[in-house]
Amino acid sequence: MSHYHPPSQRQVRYWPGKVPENYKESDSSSEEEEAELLLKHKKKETIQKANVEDLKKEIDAQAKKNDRRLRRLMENDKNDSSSSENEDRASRRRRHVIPGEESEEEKKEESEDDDEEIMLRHQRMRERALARRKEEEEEEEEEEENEESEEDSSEYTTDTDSDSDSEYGNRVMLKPVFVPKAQRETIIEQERLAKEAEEAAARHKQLLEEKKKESHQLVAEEVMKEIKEEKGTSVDINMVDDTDKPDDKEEYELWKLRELKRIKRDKEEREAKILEEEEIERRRNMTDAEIQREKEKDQSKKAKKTKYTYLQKYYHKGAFYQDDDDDLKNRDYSMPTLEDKFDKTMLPEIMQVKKFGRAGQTKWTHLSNEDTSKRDSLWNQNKDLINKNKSKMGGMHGGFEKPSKRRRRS
Amino acid sequence: MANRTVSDAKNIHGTNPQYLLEKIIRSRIYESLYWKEDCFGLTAESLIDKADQLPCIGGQYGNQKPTEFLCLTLKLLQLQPEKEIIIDFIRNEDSKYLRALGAFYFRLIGDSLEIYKYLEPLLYDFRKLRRRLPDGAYDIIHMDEFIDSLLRDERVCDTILPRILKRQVLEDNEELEPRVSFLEDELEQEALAAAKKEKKDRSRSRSSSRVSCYRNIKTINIYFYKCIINN
Repeated sequence: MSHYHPPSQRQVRYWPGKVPENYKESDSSSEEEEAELLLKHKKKETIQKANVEDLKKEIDAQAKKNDRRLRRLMENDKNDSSSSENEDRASRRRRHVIPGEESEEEKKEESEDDDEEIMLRHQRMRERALARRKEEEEEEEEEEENEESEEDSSEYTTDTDSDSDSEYGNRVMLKPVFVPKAQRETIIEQERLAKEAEEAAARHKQLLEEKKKESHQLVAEEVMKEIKEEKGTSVDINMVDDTDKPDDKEEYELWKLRELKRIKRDKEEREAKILEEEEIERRRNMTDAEIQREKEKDQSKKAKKTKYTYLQKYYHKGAFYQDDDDDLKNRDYSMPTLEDKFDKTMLPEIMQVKKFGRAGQTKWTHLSNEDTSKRDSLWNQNKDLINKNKSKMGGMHGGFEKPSKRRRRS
Repeated sequence: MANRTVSDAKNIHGTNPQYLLEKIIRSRIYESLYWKEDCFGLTAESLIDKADQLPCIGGQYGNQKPTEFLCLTLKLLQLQPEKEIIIDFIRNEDSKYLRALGAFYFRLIGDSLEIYKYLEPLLYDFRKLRRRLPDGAYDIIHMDEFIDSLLRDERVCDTILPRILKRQVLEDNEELEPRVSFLEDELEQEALAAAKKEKKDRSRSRSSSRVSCYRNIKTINIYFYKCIINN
């Protein structure tokens, strides 16, 4: 706080024309204060007397406030003119120093002094109040800025208030001394610190960058090594040699073979095409009867189905890979394999089922076993029973007649 | 540009040329490292170097990864260089993989007549090509085998090839001469030379009969197709 609090030391009476006890030549601020006090004191007197001349003088004095000597002179004049009594009293005091003897005048003087003191105190209080208000205002602003909880801030303010109050009473307050900006140590220190921090940050950044570069290089090296290794291995292990010799007779012979095969294939294709066309032409010239006869002949030519063994499993040959002329396509898929080769008629009857002894075992052997439409099946033995059942079924008794026919009859 | 086809590309077989490779393979190529690292920003010219360095031909291998060969094919489809450039690829003698790539690409984009015209001469090239098998192993295939499979098979290098007219159809339409391998001539001459020594008359009659047979076939074919058209 830059507000000035008057020292709470022993109050020293100021006597005009007398050097005060705590006077210092270099202390300009205290001088100003004294001058102010004097001015105030003077003001009071002028108001009491309502003297126009004095007012004028005061204005002069205010103008020449800074000149101490002038002021003092003026003060002397004023004292002379205003009260000879004061002068007398002062001289008297200097002369007789009798503590016991106190005239009425002196008492009056004392009371006046008290008034002065009260005035000063009031002023101080006012200043203090002002300062406090300012502080409070500032604190409020801070509060708004910091968005602190109200409780804390209020506690804080009360604490500080009480502290300041108590401190004010007891402690000696040091007078603030103005130090020019250039000489303030704190600023220099701060600047130095800031500079150091900046340098440290820059160094850190540089270090990080160097590290990054280094790691990057390391990774690159590693990757290159891996690639090299990969290339080396892939070439060595998997790759087949595909270099061609300029005059490779072997290769030429192989090519010749392939080329001949191709030529042969082409020729065969051509011939097959010709045959097909001839066949088409021939069929076109035939009558339907002739075509039918030929068809029958072809069917008789077809290979007969092989007989399946008892309980032999059926395998479908599948729909895929039918275009390739493989051994796969030309196999007989109705031949028994693995356990189907075993003659199951030799087994006890209970074992003559599919998947015997497994979870998927069935009680059925053949579909033909379960065929009830056979004439000799059990279902077809009792004809009466069948007819009886049939008669109960809807639409099974009598012939079908149109309902309209019946109506006409009735 | 990334994976888009060049803006001035012509539709091939009615679609975006890149669609000639199946969607799933295409997306696998787009995700492959080779596509991202080596095929980015390639041109028809810089592609030649890449094709020259190809280690193998083939479709997908291992964990269904596309081969570099397929990646470059897709790049060609994307760039759609002019046909002359591709024909130069095919005609070049130095780099067999570039030739294989050119042939494969040409089979994808060309029309049947051109395909027979430009690819059949490659049947005389019996250089070895390394092929990547689906399980990641390599084997050797010869250029003539590869070209033959291009001309005849439906699916080569895990790619469905566009349909082309059969050679015979083109021959019947008299758009194409019947292919006569120079080996055939050689053999015939050899046979003639051998036959001349012993049974002069028989060998002569046989060869002449074969020729006459071909002629007969031709006339029959022409007759047959005329019939079909009339009907």
